Amino acid sequence: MWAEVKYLFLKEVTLEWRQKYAFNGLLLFTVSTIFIIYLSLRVKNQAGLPDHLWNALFWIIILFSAINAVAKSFLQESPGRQLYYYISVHPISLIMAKMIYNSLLMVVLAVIAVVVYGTVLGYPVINTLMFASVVALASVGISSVLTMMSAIASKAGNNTVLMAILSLPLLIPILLLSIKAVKNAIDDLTWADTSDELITLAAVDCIGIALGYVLFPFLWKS
Amino acid sequence: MKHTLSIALFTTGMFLSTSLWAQEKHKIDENDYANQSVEMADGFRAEGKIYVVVAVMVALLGGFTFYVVRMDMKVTGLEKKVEEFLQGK
Amino acid sequence: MDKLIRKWWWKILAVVLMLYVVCAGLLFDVPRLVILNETIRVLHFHVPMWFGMILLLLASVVYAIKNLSNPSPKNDIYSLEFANVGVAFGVMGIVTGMIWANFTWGEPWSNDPKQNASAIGILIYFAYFILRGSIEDENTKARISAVYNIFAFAILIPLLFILPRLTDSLHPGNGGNPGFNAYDLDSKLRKVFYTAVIGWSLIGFWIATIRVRMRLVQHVTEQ
Repeated sequence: MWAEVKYLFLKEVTLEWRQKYAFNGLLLFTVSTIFIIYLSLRVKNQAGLPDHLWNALFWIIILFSAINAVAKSFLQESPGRQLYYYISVHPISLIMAKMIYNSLLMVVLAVIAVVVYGTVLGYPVINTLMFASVVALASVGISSVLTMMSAIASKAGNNTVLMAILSLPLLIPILLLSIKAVKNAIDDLTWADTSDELITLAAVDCIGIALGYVLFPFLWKS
Repeated sequence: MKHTLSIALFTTGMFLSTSLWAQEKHKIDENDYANQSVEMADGFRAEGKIYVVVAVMVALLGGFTFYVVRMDMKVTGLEKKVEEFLQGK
Repeated sequence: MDKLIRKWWWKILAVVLMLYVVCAGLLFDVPRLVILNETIRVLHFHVPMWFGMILLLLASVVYAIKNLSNPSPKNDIYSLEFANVGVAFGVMGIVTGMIWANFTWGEPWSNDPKQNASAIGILIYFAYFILRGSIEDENTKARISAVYNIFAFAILIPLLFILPRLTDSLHPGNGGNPGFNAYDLDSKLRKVFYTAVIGWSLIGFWIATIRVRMRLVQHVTEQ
C-alpha cells in the first residue's frame, strides 16, 4: 500500500511540475490577495496593523488560498484519469497520497504567504518556532478536510461553490484554534500556555486523516 | 491491519481532544438559595400570579401535544391504508 | 426501531416529563444569583434545545453509518429527518439563547461558545441539505450525504466541546463572569434540568419519527 501511496504522491508532484501554470496561478492568487489587503488597509502613519487584525487577516488569506489550492485535487481531474485511478489503485492509497500532497502544498503556500505578507504588512510574531508549528499543524488539518470535501463535491457535479459551502463551517473550529495559538506566538507566551491549542490541532489532524481513510472508499464506489 | 491504523489515529484524536474537557466552575450552595441580597420576583410569587404563567404554559403545551398526537394518528392511518393496499395487490 | 416509533408509551412519557418541567421549572426554588435573578429558570427551557440538537444529530449520524454499511432508502430517510429536526432545535436554541444573553450579557451575540457552536452546527447541516439538493441520483445522494454527515459530525463534535474551554480562558475569573456557564449545577437544579433534557429530546424524536413515517409512506406510494 505504501508503495502505491508513494507512487501516486510522486505522480502528483510530477504533474504539478509539468503544469507549472496551476501552481503559479495559486501563487498569484495568494500574492494578489495580500496586495489587495495591503492597498485597502494602508494606514496614514506607518505603524502597521494591530496584531489581532494581522492575525485574523493572515488566516483568512490562508483559508481562501487553501480552498483554491485543494479544490483542484478532485474537481479538476479529467474523467479519463478518474477512471484510470478507479481501475488501477486502491482508494485508500489515493486519498492518502492526495492528503499528503495537499498538506505539503499548503505548507509551501503558507511559507510563501508569510514571506510576502510579512514584507508588506509587518511581522509581529515573536516566537517563530511556535508560529511555524501552528501553521504546519493547521495546514495538515485544513488540507485533509478540504481534500475530502473536494472528493464529495466532485461526486456532486464538480461544483466549486458547493465545496466552499461544505468545508467552511468545518474549518471554523480549526481557524479559531489557530488564531488563538498564533496570538500566543505573537504575545510570546510559553509553550505550556499554547499546548492545549497545539494538542487539539494535532487531534483534529488525526481525526481528519482517519475519517478520510475510513470514509473515502465509500465515496469512490460509484 | 487495514483498519488498525485509522482506528488508532481516530482514538488518539478523540483521546487528545477529550483530555481537555475539564473545566473549573463555581459551586452553587445553600447560601445561594438563602440570601436575600439578590432581587427575585418574590412579591409576584406571593400574590400567586406565577400560577397564571404556569397555566398559560401548560395550556400551550397541551395545544402542542394535541396537534402532534393528531398528526401521529393521521400518519398511523395512512400507514394502515398503504399496508392494506399492498396486501390487496 | 420500526416498532418503537409506533409505540405510545414514550410519547406519553415525553408529555408527562414536559408537564413536570413546566411546573417545576417555574415554581421550584432556584438559587438567588446576581444578574441572572429569575431568568435562571430559562435553563430548563433553553439549554435542553442544545442537548436535543446534539442527540438528534447523533441519531442522524448513526443512521448515516447504518446507511453506508447497509444502504437502504429507509436509513437515508431516518438520517435526513433526524438532521432536520436537530437543525430546528438548534435554531430555537440560538433564538432563545439570544434573548437570554441580551438580558444577562447585555448583547444578543456575545461570543458565547455554545451559541457559536450551534451556529456552526446549523451551517454544517444547511450545507448538508444543499449537498443533498445538488445530487440527482437517489442512491448517490444517500451515500454521499451520509459520508458528509459522518465526516462533519466526527470532526466537529470534539471541537464543540473544547471551544467553551478555550473561550472561557479569554474571560478569566469565574466570579466576574455572570454567564451561567460558570456555575456548576447543584442537585436541585439538576433534577429539573435533566428531566427537561430527556423530555425535550423525546419530543424532538417524536416529531422526527412522524416526519420519517410520512416520508416512508410517500416513498412507498411513489413506487
